[in-house]
Amino acid sequence: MVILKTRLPFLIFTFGVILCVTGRVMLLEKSRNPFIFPEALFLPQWQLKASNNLAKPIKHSELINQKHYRYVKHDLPLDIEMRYVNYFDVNKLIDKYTNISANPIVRQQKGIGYYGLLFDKQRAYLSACINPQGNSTFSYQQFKENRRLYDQREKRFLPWLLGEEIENNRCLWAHLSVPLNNSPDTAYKTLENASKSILTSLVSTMPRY
Amino acid sequence: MRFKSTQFWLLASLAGLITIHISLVWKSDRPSLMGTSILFWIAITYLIWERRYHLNLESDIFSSFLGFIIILPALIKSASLTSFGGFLDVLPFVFALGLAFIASGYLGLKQYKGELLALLIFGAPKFLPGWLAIYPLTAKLSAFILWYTGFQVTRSGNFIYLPTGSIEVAIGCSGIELIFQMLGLAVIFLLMFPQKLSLKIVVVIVACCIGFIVNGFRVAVMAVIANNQQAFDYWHDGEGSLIFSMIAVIFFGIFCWFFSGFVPKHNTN
Repeated sequence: MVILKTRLPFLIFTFGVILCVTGRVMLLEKSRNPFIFPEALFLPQWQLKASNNLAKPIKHSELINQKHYRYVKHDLPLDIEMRYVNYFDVNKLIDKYTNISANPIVRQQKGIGYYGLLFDKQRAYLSACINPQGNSTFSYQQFKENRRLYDQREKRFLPWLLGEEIENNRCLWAHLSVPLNNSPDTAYKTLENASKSILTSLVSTMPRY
Repeated sequence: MRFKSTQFWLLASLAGLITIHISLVWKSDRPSLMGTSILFWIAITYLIWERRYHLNLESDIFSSFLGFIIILPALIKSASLTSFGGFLDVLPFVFALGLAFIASGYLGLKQYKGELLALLIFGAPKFLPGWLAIYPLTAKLSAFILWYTGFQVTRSGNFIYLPTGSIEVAIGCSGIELIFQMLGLAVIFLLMFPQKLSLKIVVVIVACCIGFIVNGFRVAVMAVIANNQQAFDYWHDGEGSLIFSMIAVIFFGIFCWFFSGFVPKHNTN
């Protein structure tokens, strides 16, 4: 008899909880915290000429937010396109966001990570994905390997339940470019030197989850 | 009157849980999951509705509490609105299991075994062990389809090369998802129209084959359009992937229609 008496209130209570969650799920938008880009990047010897936040184009669903910077050293302009994206395969990102149709050379440097170098139509580019933990990556495999090293999923059931993303596939894609005056090697050297501080200094400012 | 009220609150809870799942899938940008979810929920609700006067809706305190404990974490996670991964695939099963405990208790669970099995199959593809990956077979089938339709195709392992572009058939393209979707539908079909065991096996095998073959065509189409990134994205993750799942469902529907026309209805109970 006790069961009969408590059953109805229990069912109504259960329904109440479900209704609250239904309301929340239907009304609220999924939020993705944007990355707060610094006003200027840490780039010794280079002078900041301009920086602007760009609006998010609708057709790219993986793009969370972006900012472009322009630096100058001895009349040589350096363009830096930073995009915070929910994607990590830099090859595909280059395909999708730029008109470059060259095959990148992937290099690795200790303490920095992997990056891709390529040139096309009078410009040389350096592209890499900055990760919240570990080194920068370029390919799909490098990203997954980096995450495997730093993610400890088993310890995060409670944070997961409360809404932290266990699959953090976001990366801060840095795409640097300089005009190509003579050989690509000189341009690559310039890009590599400039990228060193960018690829390392932003790591600590990224949200981990 | 009291019994009627119980029925009402359970139905309202089911409606709420379905709404939560559908809304989350809607926000997750997975068109193919959306189609399957709607199809499965309609079928399950229909099956339950048909039996509404025969269901035993009595539960004990322990089972009710257990059911609530099963649903609660899933509700908390749903309310967080983060990216979900495979969570959305298993959510229907978790919701249904919890609600079945609340509605009919541990002893009454067997009333819903068919529905629960269908929903378990619905969520299974995301959690299959690696050895079940059949993508090398998918690559062979797709290459064969392309060769048969007159393309100059070469295959090396999981890579399919055409003069216009090439693709790698990865785990995600293996068709396991479509096969399991068909398998779930087969279970639902067999719940609606009970058959004897040998015919059940036939239905299940046909369902799997339809899923596998339709996916083979999907991969073949992707190989042909590999050089067009926009079209590729559309057929790979966009509404295009939904179209192939619809084609498979339609084929299976036609098969079921003929099948139930030819085979006299078999009454198991």
